[in-house]
Amino acid sequence: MPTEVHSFPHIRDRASVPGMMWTNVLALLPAVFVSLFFFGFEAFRTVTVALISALLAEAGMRRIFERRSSLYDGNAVITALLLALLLPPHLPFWRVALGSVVAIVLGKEIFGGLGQNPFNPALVGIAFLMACFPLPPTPVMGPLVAAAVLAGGLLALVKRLMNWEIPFLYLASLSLVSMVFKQEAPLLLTNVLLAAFFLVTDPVTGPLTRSARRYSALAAGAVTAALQPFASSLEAVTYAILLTNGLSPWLDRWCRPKR
Amino acid sequence: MKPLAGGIKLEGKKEATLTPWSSVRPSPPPLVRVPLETQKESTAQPLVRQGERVRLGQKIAEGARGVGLHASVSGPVTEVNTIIEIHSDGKDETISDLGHERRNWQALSKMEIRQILKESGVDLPHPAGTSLILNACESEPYLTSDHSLLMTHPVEILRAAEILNLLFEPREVILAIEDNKEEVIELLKSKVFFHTWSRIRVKALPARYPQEDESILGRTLLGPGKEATVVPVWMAYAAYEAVALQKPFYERIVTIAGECVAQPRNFWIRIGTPVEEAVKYARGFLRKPERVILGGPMRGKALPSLDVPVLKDTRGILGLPGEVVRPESVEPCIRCGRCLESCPVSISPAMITLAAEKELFDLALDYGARLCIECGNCSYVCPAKRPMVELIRYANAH
Repeated sequence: MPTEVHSFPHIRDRASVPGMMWTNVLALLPAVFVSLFFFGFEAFRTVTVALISALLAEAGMRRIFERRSSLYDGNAVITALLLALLLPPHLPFWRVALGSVVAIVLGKEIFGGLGQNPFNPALVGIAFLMACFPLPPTPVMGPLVAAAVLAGGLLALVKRLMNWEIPFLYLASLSLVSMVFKQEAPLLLTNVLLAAFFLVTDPVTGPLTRSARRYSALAAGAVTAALQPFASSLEAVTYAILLTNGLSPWLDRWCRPKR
Repeated sequence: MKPLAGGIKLEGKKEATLTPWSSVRPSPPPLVRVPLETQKESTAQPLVRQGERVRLGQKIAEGARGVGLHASVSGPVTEVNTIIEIHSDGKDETISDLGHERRNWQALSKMEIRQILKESGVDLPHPAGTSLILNACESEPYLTSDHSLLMTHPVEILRAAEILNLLFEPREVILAIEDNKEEVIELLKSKVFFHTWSRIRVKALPARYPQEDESILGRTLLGPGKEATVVPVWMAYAAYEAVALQKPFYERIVTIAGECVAQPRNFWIRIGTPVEEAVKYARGFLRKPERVILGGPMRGKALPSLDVPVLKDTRGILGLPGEVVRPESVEPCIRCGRCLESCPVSISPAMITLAAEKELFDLALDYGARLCIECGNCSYVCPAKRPMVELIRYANAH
């Protein structure tokens, strides 16, 4: 592609991809700290193992494919933290490591790295683990963890990492469909809140246009609620969002800007 | 009125050249270089020879459709090829009538006005639609030349509106300006009131870039699909001077600003003044600029060298430092959608550029690449710092 040396515009907005990613990491930290406080060493082990294996997997893949290192962009850290927060903390460490490596390798790097992956890498890792071994149920966490996730989500909202509509529509659709199924809406579950603020809002795997994003959030909420009676909250969230990730190209085509 | 779709809020950075807002009229530059190749793809025919002495305001070339180019200093012509170079003798000897009010200019006919404007080098746009819009929107950062012109010559601008009204015979005349220029709006409204000139409406628009774009302006003021004759206020002012004061278009207000410029200010700059000389009026550069730009920071042109001349449509000269213009490393698109939200013509820059990178040009056109007005918003907002405008242009070139 021909590039001009200095094409306009000569000024750029301050926002940058690494900046956005590390802000996202910051927004996940309250939840990480509260779960460390609750589950002590087990949670610490899970977080550390997830982080180290994700970073090693990404560095290794970059080396193999001879591409520029991408650890600085913070995306692998987000994937590792989401994985660690979603998985039950007392899972054997090798399973966490396996999930983390699968998330990075099969979830992201194999498609060409950040921006190219059609499915959320953390959820790919979790789905892989669920397909291989039955996952023990996540122990019920106190409202404090939910509050920490919510606090992080609000930080992400204030920092303009997402539009408020997306978590709102996800939770609204989840509650509505739960009512139809005569279920109690699991609004305060950690997994559901993580999904609302950090998974449905993932820009890479969601659609592009604003209206398509709204439909995507509504669909994810509805499917989560519909799966709720038959599955654990982790399974419901994982499969619902992976499914709507797969719908993104169609939603985008359907909601193309009209002229 | 339909507000601008998309658009972005930019940091104004205009204070430096608005305190004071008046424009300085400096002594003539040592030389001017008037290019014969105008942007409208045709080359003007020179009317002077090397060695000839010319006076200030003398017609030195005739371009397409008879629009003249004029000597902006008096002195000997030292070069005639693709440019006409004139060395100034510093005396500014003028052609006989220059600056004297034309007798009975209010009673001129449409044909006479058209002829005068052509002769004076004011190349007005073709009439379109039934409305005349005087464009005083100046939403790019740093630039304040129109602001300064309106503050110092409000009555002249209204007279210019009368002249253009006579020429285009529109159904309505609107002066479009951004709502953050409150003092200008107040001044213009009071002048309109005291002169009881009821045909012109001063219309305040939200200060969002690219409000000043002609296609955007017509659409936001009149509704989708409506056309209008859009005349920038600096051009209207030149038309007033040509018709009323018999003064050809040989100088204009240029904002000389940017973090690197020692004394940022608005100046009356002769057309053809090399950028290097123009910057000297602002006491030169405090530190070496990373990039010197002709025009605004959103759509202006980065200059390869400083001997490029000021043209009739040059609004500003900016000296920008590294911390403002330094290129950042390019990341892959994360589909954040900010480009879609900022786009004033509601196309999908993300899809177009992703398609262009894969050389899928049909797909790029399908997503509206042809409708791009190259405002630069998508490149500005992109957190991955992707070269959006270049990629869209690349798609359109195929």
